[in-house]
Amino acid sequence: MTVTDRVIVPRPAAPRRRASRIAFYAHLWLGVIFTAALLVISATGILLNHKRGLGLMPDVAHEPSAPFAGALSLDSLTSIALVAVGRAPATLGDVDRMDVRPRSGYVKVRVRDARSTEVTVDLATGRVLHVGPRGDVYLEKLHSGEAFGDRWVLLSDAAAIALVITIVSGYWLWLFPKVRRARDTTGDAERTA
Amino acid sequence: MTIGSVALMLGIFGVPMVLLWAGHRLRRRSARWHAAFWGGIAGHLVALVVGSVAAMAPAEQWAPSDVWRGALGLWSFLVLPAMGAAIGVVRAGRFGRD
Repeated sequence: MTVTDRVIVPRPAAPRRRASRIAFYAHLWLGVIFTAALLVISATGILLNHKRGLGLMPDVAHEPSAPFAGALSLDSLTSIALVAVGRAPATLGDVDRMDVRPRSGYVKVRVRDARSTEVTVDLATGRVLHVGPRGDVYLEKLHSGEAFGDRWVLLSDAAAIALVITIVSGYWLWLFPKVRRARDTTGDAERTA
Repeated sequence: MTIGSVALMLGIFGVPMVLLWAGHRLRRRSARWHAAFWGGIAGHLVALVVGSVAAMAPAEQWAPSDVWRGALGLWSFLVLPAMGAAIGVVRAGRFGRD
């Protein structure tokens, strides 16, 4: 074979080669750097999807014991809930939120503490139906990054963007060589014909 | 930002960057470098599991008194890879490689 007989394999154009190189390094660096963040976001996401089954959120089955018109006042229900968790005398600062469920006949009073303790109280009788921690509240904060502070939400945004870029670059790295090869084969066939 | 948060950021972003840099053209590096790299990787993988579990269990907000949780959840991402790399270097030296 002489020098003039040498087969010249067509190489992709320089911009495409550069794009593939960028895709490769973006895929590698973003994938590795955001591993920890994406791992925690994925794990907390799965746990939140199954929060009832895993007991992270109490599921209190209850029927209304009286018409909604006969419900106790919010103030009384708050006091009952806070006494149940040993926070008497009641102050509004102890309550994170109240979730009234007229169809189930109860109110969920969430206390502001590390465990996000929730007290479920019957709307009409004031009977305490359940007291327990709401694990999903903390997991939601960890999922969004809020557990470490308000600005940490940006970390979960960055992880989401990194994931999208990793997906796009992964598809590019997977499909671009196939498209290029197919195009080269078609070109060769046309030249031969 | 607390010192624990800085350690966490360095652990989850700084350490992988250093490992990526250290893993570049690894075949051309010395045996000691290899050992440090693989030790760091092992430490990082252990930290991923230990740190993630410490962050999630129990599912409640951390308190300043949670010493073990803080150590594992914030510092393990930085300390364990460093320990792994150090162990790798020591082992490589002990077995007379490079």
